[in-house]
Amino acid sequence: MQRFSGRHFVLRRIGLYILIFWCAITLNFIIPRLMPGNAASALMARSQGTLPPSALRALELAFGIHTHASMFTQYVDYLRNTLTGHFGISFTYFPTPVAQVIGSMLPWTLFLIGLSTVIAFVLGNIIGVYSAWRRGHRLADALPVAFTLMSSMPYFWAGLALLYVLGFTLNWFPISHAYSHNIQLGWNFQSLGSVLYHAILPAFSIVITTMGRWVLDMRNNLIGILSDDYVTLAQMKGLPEREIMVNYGARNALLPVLTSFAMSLGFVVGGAVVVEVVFNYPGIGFGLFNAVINSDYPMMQAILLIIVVAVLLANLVIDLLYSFLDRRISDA
Amino acid sequence: MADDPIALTIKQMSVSYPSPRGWVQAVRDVSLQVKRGQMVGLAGESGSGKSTLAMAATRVLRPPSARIGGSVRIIGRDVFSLSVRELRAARWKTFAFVSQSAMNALNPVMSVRAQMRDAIRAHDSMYSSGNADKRCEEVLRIVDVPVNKLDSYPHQLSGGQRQRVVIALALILQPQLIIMDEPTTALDVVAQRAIIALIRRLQRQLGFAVLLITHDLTLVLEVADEVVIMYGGRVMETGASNELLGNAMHPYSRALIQSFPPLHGVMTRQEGIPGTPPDMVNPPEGCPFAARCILAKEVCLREMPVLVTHGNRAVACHHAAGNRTFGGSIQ
Ligand SMILES: Nc1ncnc2c1ncn2[C@@H]1O[C@H](COP(=O)(O)OP(=O)(O)O)[C@@H](O)[C@H]1O
Ligand SMILES: [Mg+2]
Repeated sequence: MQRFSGRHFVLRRIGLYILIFWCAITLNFIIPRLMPGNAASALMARSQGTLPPSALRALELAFGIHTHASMFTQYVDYLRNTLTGHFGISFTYFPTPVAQVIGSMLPWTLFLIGLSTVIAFVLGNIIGVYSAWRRGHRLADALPVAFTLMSSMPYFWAGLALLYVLGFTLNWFPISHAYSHNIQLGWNFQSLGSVLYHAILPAFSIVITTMGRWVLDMRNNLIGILSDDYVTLAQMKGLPEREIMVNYGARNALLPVLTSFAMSLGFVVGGAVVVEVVFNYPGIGFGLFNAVINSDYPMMQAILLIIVVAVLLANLVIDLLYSFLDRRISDA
Repeated sequence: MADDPIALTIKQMSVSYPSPRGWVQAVRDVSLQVKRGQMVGLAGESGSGKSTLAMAATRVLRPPSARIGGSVRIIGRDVFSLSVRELRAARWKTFAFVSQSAMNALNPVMSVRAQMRDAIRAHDSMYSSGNADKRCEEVLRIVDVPVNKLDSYPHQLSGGQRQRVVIALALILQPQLIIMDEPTTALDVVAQRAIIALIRRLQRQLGFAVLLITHDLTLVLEVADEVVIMYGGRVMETGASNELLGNAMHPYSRALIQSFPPLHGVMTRQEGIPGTPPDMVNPPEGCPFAARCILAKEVCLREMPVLVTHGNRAVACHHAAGNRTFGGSIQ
């Protein structure tokens, strides 16, 4: 019976997220059509008269824009294209399809920002647990303050400072790109080494500027929980201190933090802009930045859609994780 | 040592909490004893220092959170001279202390089974998981909770079931002493009495000693062998329950009995004792209860009465000390 209620919960959640996804892509369909013009006329406008008026029709055909088809047909076409990853053709990288451009950017962002977000979360929580456990000791009390200070710096400032000192002045790390252009990228140690070497500086800058909140959240939650009755009982049971900290303290202290973690995972794609621009990193954020600069509407639309999907997926994963970690939720 | 006939001896215990206004003298010179296989009740209004006493005696409370004086022996061992390691080993296996509000005493993210097994594992790593599971089922059966609740999480249990699970948890390593602080506070009256009756039955059957802490003197008088009554951090009166029940000597004990409905019989609405407990930062020089006592004389305000033994009971009251039959004449 309990099994059933758990599975029921999962199905309900997935249903909810599909509904939200449908709303998002429908809005993505409606909003551009409420604005004057379309991708073809935007490109015409951008060409500032260098293209003859007759080119409009050709562009419409190239972009697959059917201004004369009914709204319903357009919507069905749009749904089919979106679900099969046909986002149209990029202006910036004309005539490369948007899907292909994004396909080459997304892995970089997921790798750099995703990994740094997870590392910051894990490290931050470990340090938070430590500083709550050993509170009163000098190091344990100093760490949260230090990390809070670091995370209160604006990111671009910290990123630029690191870039300038460690990259430009000391020349310890490369200052841009995802890998050395002297090498042929592939699944070998040389490529892997180059990719990691290029990722260290941006990843480090993300980790130190985002870790503070996890340290602080975990420490505060845990200190609150350590005076709860079930922790006292665990101590009275004579459990080893480490076990109490993890199973009774941290597991409970982590629950409220997971929601914020889901949000930050969801924003991996969206939040990449500043980092990737500062470090010239060829990911989605850099792509979005260029798309905005170049009024590359198909590109922007597709990236926004991907951001929505990322937020939804992250939330779904965390929901499922919650129901596994805390049975009160799936039983509700 | 291990065959000491006394399960718990608390000697001249004093506990003070630091506070901005000065030391809160929550427990002042309290001594008590629980024999093996005996059930002793520790009763008194809220704020009397009962929990403080129990927490200090089990080293839950320790400096710098509190200043602690006195000595404690549990099953023949001096609690304050145990190393941290020895203390950890003694907890739950020699004595179990279930602190206030067993309602929230279970970890919400672990199943009942996991919370029972970690206690077994912490004290006996040789315990095979099959044996551990058998023991978990056994103790659940003892407290009348269906065995299939082992895989439940605390929120899936009713209040009474949670309470019983905590008792089962206390029994799991067969300790010789169990200290329970208000084990039934969050329950309704009927469930409360069922739990207390269960504790009493198990205590008789399994032969462990119990120190049962409660603010409900009437309840504890019905079940415990002996009762210690505290107020203002001091022991006011002690004695066998059957003697105290009809013939309490201290005016405070009498007032407490009157302010709770009897265990059996009509439950009428009762008021508490008029007045409020004393300020423990500056406790009164004389009897802490004097300010609220209908019999208070000048000497009561001036001088703290000593705990005087009368046969197998003791009372700290100027009236009772002067006249052994006085208790009977207060009506
Ligand atoms: N942590 C603390 N700091 C300061 N004073 C406390 C603390 N805990 C309890 N007290 C005070 O100590 C006295 C005894 O409290 P307690 O032992 O909880 O009484 P009881 O369990 O009998 O209700 C009360 O006056 C209470 O306000
Ligand atoms: Mg109490």
